[in-house]
Amino acid sequence: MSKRQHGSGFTRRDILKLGASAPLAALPMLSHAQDAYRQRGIDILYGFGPGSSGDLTCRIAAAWLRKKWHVPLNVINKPGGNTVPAVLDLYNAAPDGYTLLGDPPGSSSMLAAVVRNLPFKVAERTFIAMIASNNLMFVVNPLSPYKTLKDVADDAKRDPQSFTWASQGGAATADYIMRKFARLSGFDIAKTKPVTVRSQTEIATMAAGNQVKVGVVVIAAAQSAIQGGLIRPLALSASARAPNLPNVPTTAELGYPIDLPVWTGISGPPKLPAAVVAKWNGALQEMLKEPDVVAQLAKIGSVPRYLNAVEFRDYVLREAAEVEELYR
Amino acid sequence: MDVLNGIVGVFSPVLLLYCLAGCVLGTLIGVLPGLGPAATMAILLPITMTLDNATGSIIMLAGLYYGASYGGSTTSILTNIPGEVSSVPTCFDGFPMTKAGRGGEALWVAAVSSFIAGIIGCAILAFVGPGLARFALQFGPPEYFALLFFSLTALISLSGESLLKGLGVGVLGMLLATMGSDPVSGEARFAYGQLALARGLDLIPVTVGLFGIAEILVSSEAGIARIYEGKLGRMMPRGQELAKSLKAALRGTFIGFPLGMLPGMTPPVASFMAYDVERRISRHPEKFGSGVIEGVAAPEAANNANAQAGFVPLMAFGIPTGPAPALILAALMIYGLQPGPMLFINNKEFVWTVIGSMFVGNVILLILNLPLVGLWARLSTVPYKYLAPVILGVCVVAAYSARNAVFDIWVALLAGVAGYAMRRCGWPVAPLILGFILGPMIELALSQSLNMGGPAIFFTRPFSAGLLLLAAIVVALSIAVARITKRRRTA
Repeated sequence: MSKRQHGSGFTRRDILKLGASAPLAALPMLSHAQDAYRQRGIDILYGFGPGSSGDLTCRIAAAWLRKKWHVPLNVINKPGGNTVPAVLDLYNAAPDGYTLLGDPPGSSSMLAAVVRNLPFKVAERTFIAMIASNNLMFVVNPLSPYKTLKDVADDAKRDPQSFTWASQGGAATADYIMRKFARLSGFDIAKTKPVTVRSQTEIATMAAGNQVKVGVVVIAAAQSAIQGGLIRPLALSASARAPNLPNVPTTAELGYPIDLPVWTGISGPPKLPAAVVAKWNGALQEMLKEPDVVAQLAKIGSVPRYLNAVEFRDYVLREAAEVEELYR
Repeated sequence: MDVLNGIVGVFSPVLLLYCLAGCVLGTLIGVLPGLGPAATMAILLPITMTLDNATGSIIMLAGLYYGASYGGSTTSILTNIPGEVSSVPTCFDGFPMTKAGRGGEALWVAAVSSFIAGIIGCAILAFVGPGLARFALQFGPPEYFALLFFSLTALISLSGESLLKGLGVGVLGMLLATMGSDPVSGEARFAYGQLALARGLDLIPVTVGLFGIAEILVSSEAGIARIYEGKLGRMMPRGQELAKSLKAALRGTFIGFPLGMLPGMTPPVASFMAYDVERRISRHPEKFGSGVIEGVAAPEAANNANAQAGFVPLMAFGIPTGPAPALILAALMIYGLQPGPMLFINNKEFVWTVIGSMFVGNVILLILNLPLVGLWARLSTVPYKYLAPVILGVCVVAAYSARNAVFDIWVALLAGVAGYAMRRCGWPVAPLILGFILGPMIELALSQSLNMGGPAIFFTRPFSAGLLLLAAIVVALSIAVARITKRRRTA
């Protein structure tokens, strides 16, 4: 069925995409005639809608590789169903390197904790590489009585029943950080009041409107609101301070060692040939050395973070085990 | 005057070209059902990244976004397929007008209403925008819940003859929308172990099926030769009709704009509410659904004002109200332009040129759309045996392209058969869509509010208490009016 979907699914959107990439693709196709891989367009599936930092990271990578390899590379959003449909499409695709997945925590390390009885095993995919990460921070309304992260912990301990925080509904890094924070500071997360939102930007909005006591949000989604004085950052969940926010302390400095970014990687179907993985590893490593790419990533709030196939696999599986433990 | 400088600034050949490109693309994706502005922008984003003209790229993406809300009405009016979900209410009276040979007038009114809303929206954005944005932030989950609850009263108007049938269909829409991921916990509901069901139903295939495909089935069965037989009427409405539609467009604008500033309050809600208001204040509410011009003007204006209003929180605070503004935000960030109060100070020229481009863009869209009216209107006289397969093809592609899923084509076909059956049995279809749209939003707002402070929160926050009271009054009045008319009829 998935084969047929590929064959018959030629839509206006594909035509638009081809139109967009044709001038680039048509040029020196011939120079790769001997190359067994990269003969035709490569699809990068993505389990969420367009516009998030992960989606944009994949698009930046696709744009760069399209120029380098002279083949069309398209990011295809397949949102819904907690990314299970997108991942299943990946697993059902031929392991030839023409169908890959833009892989954030939501479709890998956090998936098993939210979707019980997954129709596949997360570890079975071929991990290719991690390419970027994006740090999160604790934010509050400017009028909030919380002045430090410790104030948050104390209040949550004292009165968990009225402690509201912006949750992304289970498996999301924001929730993961909050659970870890609860674990470290000794309050019971199950007694608190998570207010579920659908996106990272909504977390900033909720804190700005004083609808929740605290939110955990990616830097990119919070920057404007911080500059506008709509929200106040308390701590950055990272091991080092962010260059553009030098006054925001890190969780580690404050005694809560939480270093959990939202990262973006690329994965392939199970049993993807090692040659394809090597080709991607080489290209992505080269890409992350390009100042242009680094600058583009910085603008969407992402930092290059390269992990090769083996390191990436270990990272995801370790994180998955930690998530499993936190959500039990 | 910053705005005037901005408008003058747009009149450079390069920027005008970007503006035109955005508007043309926007109109095109507006006309094609299923293809929304967000998906198109996502495709364009990597290309705009390689352009070094930041102002031009943003002007183009913005034009694409507000331009899409112009084109959405075209297929609604001509074929009963909503081009965008926010154009569903335009079908109710737009398509009957086409069947009566007044398709030209409906298209003309849709374009002019969109223009009025666009220009007024720009003006509000330019003069009072940033001040209003702060107000929108005060709108929390309890206020959303109350507003959505109030929107549910539109089910009464959309029900047609029988309120009971309308409410039943509305509840069915809400139930269908519960399939898929639970908006709170993310767990799959009503999936029965089926992966396709775990993704839930998408609004686009459901709408395309219920309206477009059902229409093809009904028309084919009736064996019509053309959608309209006879000579086409005039394109521009005159006298009373013109005055009525302009007034409705103004009302639609002032309903659509405030709703458009609220994150998550999607354009369909605004256009449904605008339609509902028109029907309520009309002296002849019973005529709605048979081709009333206000029923086209108001939702189209609301839908455009809504799109324009999204720029207020976006520019003022970097808060996107939906997927398409989120992509404009991404593009701004790619160019290193951080939206927010500082943007108005640090990048003053940029801000005002983009706002200026919206005035110019709305004029371009009007110039673009009005001459097309005559051409489009002629579609209704094309023999139906040629037109029907094309419409069916468009429906299938639209259903597929919403989520790149073959399953959605089956959903659209099934919804088509269901829509046909409902029409044959005299059940209204519109409440189903409204229930489908509002259901998950109400569920989320309710759960958020309850976690924020229990049921009492709806009554302790003045705005939500006021809206809930208003909803109660509307329901009570509708029941009273229904009783009185019934008594008169029987007397």
